[in-house]
Amino acid sequence: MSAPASPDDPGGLRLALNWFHTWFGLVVGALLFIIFWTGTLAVFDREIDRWTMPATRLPIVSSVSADALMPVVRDLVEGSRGWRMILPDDRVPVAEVQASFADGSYVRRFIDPVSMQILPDEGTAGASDFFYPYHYNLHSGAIGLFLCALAAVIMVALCVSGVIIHRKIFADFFTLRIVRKAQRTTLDLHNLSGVLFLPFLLMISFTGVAIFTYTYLPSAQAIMFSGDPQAMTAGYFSRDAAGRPGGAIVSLEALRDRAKDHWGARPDYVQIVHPGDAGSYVELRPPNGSKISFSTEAMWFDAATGARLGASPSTGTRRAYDFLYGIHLVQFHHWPLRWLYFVSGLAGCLLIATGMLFWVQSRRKRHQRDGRRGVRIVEAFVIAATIGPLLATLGFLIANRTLPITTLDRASTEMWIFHLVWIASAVHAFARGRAAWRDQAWMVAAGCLLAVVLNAWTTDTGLFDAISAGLWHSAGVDLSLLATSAIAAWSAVKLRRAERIASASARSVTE
Amino acid sequence: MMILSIAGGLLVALLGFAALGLSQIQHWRVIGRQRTTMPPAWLRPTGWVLVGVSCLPPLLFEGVAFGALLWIGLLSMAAICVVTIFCRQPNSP
Repeated sequence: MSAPASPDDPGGLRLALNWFHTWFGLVVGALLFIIFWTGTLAVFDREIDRWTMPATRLPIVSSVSADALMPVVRDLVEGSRGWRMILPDDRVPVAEVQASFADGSYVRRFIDPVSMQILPDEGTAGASDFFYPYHYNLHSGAIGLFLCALAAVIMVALCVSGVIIHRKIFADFFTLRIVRKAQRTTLDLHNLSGVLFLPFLLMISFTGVAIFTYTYLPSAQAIMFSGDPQAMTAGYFSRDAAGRPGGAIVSLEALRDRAKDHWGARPDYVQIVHPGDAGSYVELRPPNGSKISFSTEAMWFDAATGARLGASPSTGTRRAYDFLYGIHLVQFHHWPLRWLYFVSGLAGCLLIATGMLFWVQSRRKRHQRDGRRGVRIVEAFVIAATIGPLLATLGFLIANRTLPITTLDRASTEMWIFHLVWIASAVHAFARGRAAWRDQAWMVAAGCLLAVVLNAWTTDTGLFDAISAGLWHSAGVDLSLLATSAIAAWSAVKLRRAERIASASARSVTE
Repeated sequence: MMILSIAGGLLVALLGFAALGLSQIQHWRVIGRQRTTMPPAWLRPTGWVLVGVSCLPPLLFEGVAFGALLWIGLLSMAAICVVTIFCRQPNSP
């Protein structure tokens, strides 16, 4: 890339960073977009869970006794190596039970805390087991984890370099020029979403880097604790199964009360390790609804006697880490802040999409004149990287409402459909070229409407019923889908108008 | 209380950003009839003070931790509102 022809460009640092920003932004943009998009969805993962699991759409309950749930839980976890129960809170209306078995199988089910019934398995990973982990491992294990960690570092660098290469950060602070030269508007939108949301973008990408330490510096702990490997797990309790049967589990409510004396709040997370064994113990973790920090602390009790076995130490380092972790994880219950995270996440998506689009727009004429194919290929890549994930998500939701409950491996079928729709979006973009923007915008608009209609058709808690019953979790997803549909349709109409103007002016030039 | 802190913070930040924006000649010229005058000098300091003061409602009502996060988000929202208002003016470029 050559130096920008501008007399006020000092060259040097700005030129070098411009190169970095342009090419890393383009190449890593697709990865960053899917990470931002799934992260934005993960902000409302519990609510999307309710939408994808209609049986769990229940009114929020005040508080539930862990002991009262035990008879129901016992049937589910019989013979397991370990299980955990996450009690309902003011965001989730159902109790969740996860159990892992010796043959490697894993069970995740929900319990209605009012009727004390195990809710039917709906054969879906929902948002919390698909979009949420996708945000940090791209559904591809250790490689995905590493790619996401790398992307977080690059995102911080892109934010910083973007600020440095921005020529008029204060003069253009409030400037959005909606003009006939679409490239100008794209760059203004890129600058605005980057500058006005810079505090959020820096915060989220920096905490993203900070909480990934162990992924890209796996040897850090070995270096830090080389003299005393035991110190790394100091304060953490674990023990092997004794191999002989143990007594019955003590009252979990009593343990929750004792944990409250220690933490000031009753834990909603209860885990039993080696159930039924003499070495069985209970792990409790503190609730995270009322503070920013996401606590990584735990307390342990003997399952049969209730004797306290230990509590993880609360050090300054841990509290600092938990604070950074909590800022990123948004597990606190604060609806305005949750919505601000959601909108800011969308602004991040807009930032990445407009950045990639600007690359295409600023080179289109030159490439066409020189007969180069770069722009066409990159444009299809950009469409597949930005609208593709939206369509794939809608494919997932529509599959969730149409696949019969008896489908074999229903949960993984949904994930296959997510990826197949994404591939189809890419193929369509390559085939249709520039017109694919408009086509796919219409597809998003139609897909959102279809998802809302299917939800009303296949469940008895469609949008209107959900609102009148006060089930805001699923109603909120429906309303957001409708809003997305409206925005997508509006964009498609605007794109059509822009194309007409562009083709009209192209004709007048040739005539 | 939550409504008060959010509405208060947002309103003050909106006024602050509007003043800062209007202190820039290109936005001053497209607002209203004053195409020839220069923006008054007091707009810019007033804008900065208001943007600074807008942290008080969230911090006072929501505490330092939640208040600071809320303030960061509200600043972005207020700035976006001002940009939207400016770019919808009939004389806007």
